[in-house]
Amino acid sequence: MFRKAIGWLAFCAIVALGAAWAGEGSADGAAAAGQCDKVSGKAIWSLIPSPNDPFGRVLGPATGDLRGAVSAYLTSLAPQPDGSLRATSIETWALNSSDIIIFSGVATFVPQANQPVGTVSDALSLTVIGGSGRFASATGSLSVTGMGYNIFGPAAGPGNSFFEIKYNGTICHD
Amino acid sequence: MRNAVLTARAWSAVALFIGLSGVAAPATAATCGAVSGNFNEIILPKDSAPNDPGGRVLGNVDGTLKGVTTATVTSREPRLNGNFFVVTSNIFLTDEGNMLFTRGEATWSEVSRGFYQVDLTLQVTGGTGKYAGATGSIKIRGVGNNISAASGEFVHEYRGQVCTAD
Repeated sequence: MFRKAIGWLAFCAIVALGAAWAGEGSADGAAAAGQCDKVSGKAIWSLIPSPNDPFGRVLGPATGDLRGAVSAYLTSLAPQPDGSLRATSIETWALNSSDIIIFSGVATFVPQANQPVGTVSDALSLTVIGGSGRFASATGSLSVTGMGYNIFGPAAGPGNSFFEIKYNGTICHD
Repeated sequence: MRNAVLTARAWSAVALFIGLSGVAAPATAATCGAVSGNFNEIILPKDSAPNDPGGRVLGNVDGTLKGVTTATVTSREPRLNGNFFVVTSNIFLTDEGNMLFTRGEATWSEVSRGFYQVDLTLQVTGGTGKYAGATGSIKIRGVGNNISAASGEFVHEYRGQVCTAD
């Protein structure tokens, strides 16, 4: 009788642990894909010459869990009544020769008082919209925060304009 | 009033963002150094580069130019033997934040359908930071695997010389 009770308790504990683990895996409801990973890291994105992209394009390395090459172009840029800028973008992260993640982005740039002209804070929300390789059916999102320097003003241009950011979020993939 | 000033700044930002494409002209070069290493490039899907009609690649670079790279195909002419003559515009951004701008001319020799041997010569046209005003030439040998209009990858080895102003 005692042995049976111990066995039942052990079974319940395993079931409970399994349920808790599964719940963690689908944290923030990011996706129905097989595996969800919390990711974080840093990146520096520099404005590059890109004559075909009317609102500009950036390029830069990302470090951390999504280490790779990142390039993004703005799809819109609109000044807001409060003096901030709202931008939308498409970002592509190439992690290696087969794995890429494509995000849709919505950013708010806020010019910083008492800082050199063109200094802005950057709050960017990225949502996975596609990918390839390991991330072919990926879902998830990233929260990106950081600062932009020489984004406008006399020093703005390739080689001077860049964003220094941190990212964190959840990416789900098969 | 503060809002009005910020709004004016915002409009300036828009104007500057739109106008940002100019790059300083190369200066006289004085110090030359060898560069070498490897890099890969993924052909981006159309959604990632809808404004680049010839396509865009994105990749990671090892070696002297360690960092990231992107390039666009500005023209691609088929040859009678199945090869292509390809003109590219390439940018290397090193981990230190220096940019190197180049113009490339390549021959893509078809090995089998969708697979190419690539012989590419990059002429350095300038850059930023350490590479401001740079000149030089970089030879690239590589392969293109599963190449189509919006997918596939290249794996390259590069070797050359970059000269920078003192």
